[in-house]
Amino acid sequence: MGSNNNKKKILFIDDEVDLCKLVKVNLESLGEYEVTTVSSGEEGIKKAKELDFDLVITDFKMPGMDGEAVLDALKAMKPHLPVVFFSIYHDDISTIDTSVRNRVNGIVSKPIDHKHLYEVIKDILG
Amino acid sequence: MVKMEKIKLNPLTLSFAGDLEKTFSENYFRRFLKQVRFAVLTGVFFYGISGVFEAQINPETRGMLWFIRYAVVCPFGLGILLFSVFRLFEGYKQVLLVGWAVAAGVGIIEMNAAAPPSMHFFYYTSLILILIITYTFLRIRFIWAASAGWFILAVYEIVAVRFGNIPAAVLENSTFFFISANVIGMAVCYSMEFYARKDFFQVHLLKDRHEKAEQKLQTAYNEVRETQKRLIQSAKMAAVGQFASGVAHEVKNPLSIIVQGIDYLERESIPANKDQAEVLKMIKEAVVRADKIVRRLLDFSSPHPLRLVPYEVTEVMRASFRMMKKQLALMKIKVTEDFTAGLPLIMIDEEQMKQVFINIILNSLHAMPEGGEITARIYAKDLTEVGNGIGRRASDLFKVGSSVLICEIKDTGLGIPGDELSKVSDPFFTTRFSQGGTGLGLTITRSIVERHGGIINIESKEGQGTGVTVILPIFKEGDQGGQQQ
Ligand SMILES: Nc1ncnc2c1ncn2[C@@H]1O[C@H](COP(=O)(O)OP(=O)(O)O)[C@@H](O)[C@H]1O
Ligand SMILES: [Mg+2]
Repeated sequence: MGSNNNKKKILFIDDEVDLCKLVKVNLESLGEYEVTTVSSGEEGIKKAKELDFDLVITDFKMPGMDGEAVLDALKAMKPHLPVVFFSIYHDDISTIDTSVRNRVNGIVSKPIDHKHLYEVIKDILG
Repeated sequence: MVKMEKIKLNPLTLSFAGDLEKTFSENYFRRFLKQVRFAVLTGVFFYGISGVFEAQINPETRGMLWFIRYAVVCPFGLGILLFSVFRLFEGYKQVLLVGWAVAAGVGIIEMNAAAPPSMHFFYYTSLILILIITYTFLRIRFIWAASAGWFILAVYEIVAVRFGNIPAAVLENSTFFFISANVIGMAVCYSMEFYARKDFFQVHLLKDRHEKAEQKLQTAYNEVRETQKRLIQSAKMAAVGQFASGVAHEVKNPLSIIVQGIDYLERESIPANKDQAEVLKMIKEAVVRADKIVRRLLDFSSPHPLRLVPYEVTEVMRASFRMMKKQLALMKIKVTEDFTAGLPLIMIDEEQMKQVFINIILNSLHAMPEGGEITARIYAKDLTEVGNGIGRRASDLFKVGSSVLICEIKDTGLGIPGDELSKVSDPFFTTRFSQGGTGLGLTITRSIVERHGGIINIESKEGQGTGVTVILPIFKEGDQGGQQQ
């Protein structure tokens, strides 16, 4: 696959490995994105340090570092890097603090299909 | 021992004041009906028998005497006996018995007037006997019996003076004994009636107290049961809530994989094959359905905090109906709104309250597949009666005396069978499983209403319709509020 500079780079963090695989295949099939997947918040931070990404999509509820911790670490590192939460709630007013909500670029709820996910990403990355 | 209420009687007529007299009369009548009949029968018997003795002593005037005995007084008595089997007797008992006693007495006096002085002792004794029976055995009320007694005496005196066939000394003597008989008779009669009334009064008091105690017990029992029901309900909700959020978390991830997997298959391998594409579509729809249930579970297990602002409930209800307008029209359901104007604003979360009304309206809509009518009312009320969740105790949501807004939504739908009524707001209870019911609509609705410090009551008649009432507190200024989050 190699690094193609035209393609936007997305980091996808979710402890569900199969989901990572499928999202990667689906998104990359569009030809616009290059998706890197990791299965924990810690690995995600490590990856984000090594490489430059245009967007990070992270699960909100994970063992170990959760979405909020990942957000804090990422923003400390790269304040302008857009972050999207992947959450099981369809309406996150209740479960995600306003303070946190204000700092993310989007919240999408599981299960999200390919088409909707693409719309959200396109919204942010253009 | 509790202090007994004092008995209140008219000292002359011995009547109770008020309704009690009627109850007493009925009771007294029933209690002594048999005795009265027996007394009448005895009277008839002796009145008849004494005619035989009379005929032996005084054969000349036999015709007239027998007429009085066997054509007037005895048939009168037998007539009373006969009449006593009818209900109507109760109303005429006093008059008839007094009339009979007077007739018997006057009859004797007439006979006495026609008889030679030597017969006087015979009639004189008979008259005393009649007075005794009148004052006691017949159970005539004191006031009536006394009137009869003195009337008979008066007639005796008048007749004696008019006919003058009784020697003065004898007349004096017998008058003295008649007066004595009357006075003693009155005393006995008075005391008999007085004690009968006193007994009755005490029994009545005890019964009354017993009934009141029973009523109190019943109310207390209902309250305990109501509280217990509410506790069970909230325990159930809490348990289901925990369970639900656990399940939802576990299910959401697999669902995500399925959805993304379908997207992959749709793109990569199957699009050409129409059947397989169809199957994929079915799977996708199934996922959407499963997701819907999980969403509702989550809604209910981690409810959104209320964002309370002063708001007009009527406006929320109107907006809810507006949102459903198309569906309602399509189902040929007529909506009547009857909202009191100028109701106070109350603290509510508009969005969540809308969900409450929409859930209720949706249920009504589902219950009226052939069309029908929904009547919505909103009005304010001062609670004056103890009822479901309304009372004077700390455990009651609403205190008697507080003001509430009452929102009613009534439909003319299928209704809910009696045995299901208590279960409709249980989590997962649905009769519309095959049509996509989750059984969480009313569960969530109830939970939202209760978090607003309100209560929801559902009434229904199978085949006639259902009425759902949401009662919300109106908080006055300075109120601490009673809303739970
Ligand atoms: N207005 C109504 N008329 C008749 N039945 C009703 C009504 N509202 C509720 N029900 C009964 O209560 C059940 C539970 O309602 P709800 O909790 O809203 O779940 P759902 O609508 O998903 O079945 C319904 O399935 C239905 O049997
Ligand atoms: Mg429903």
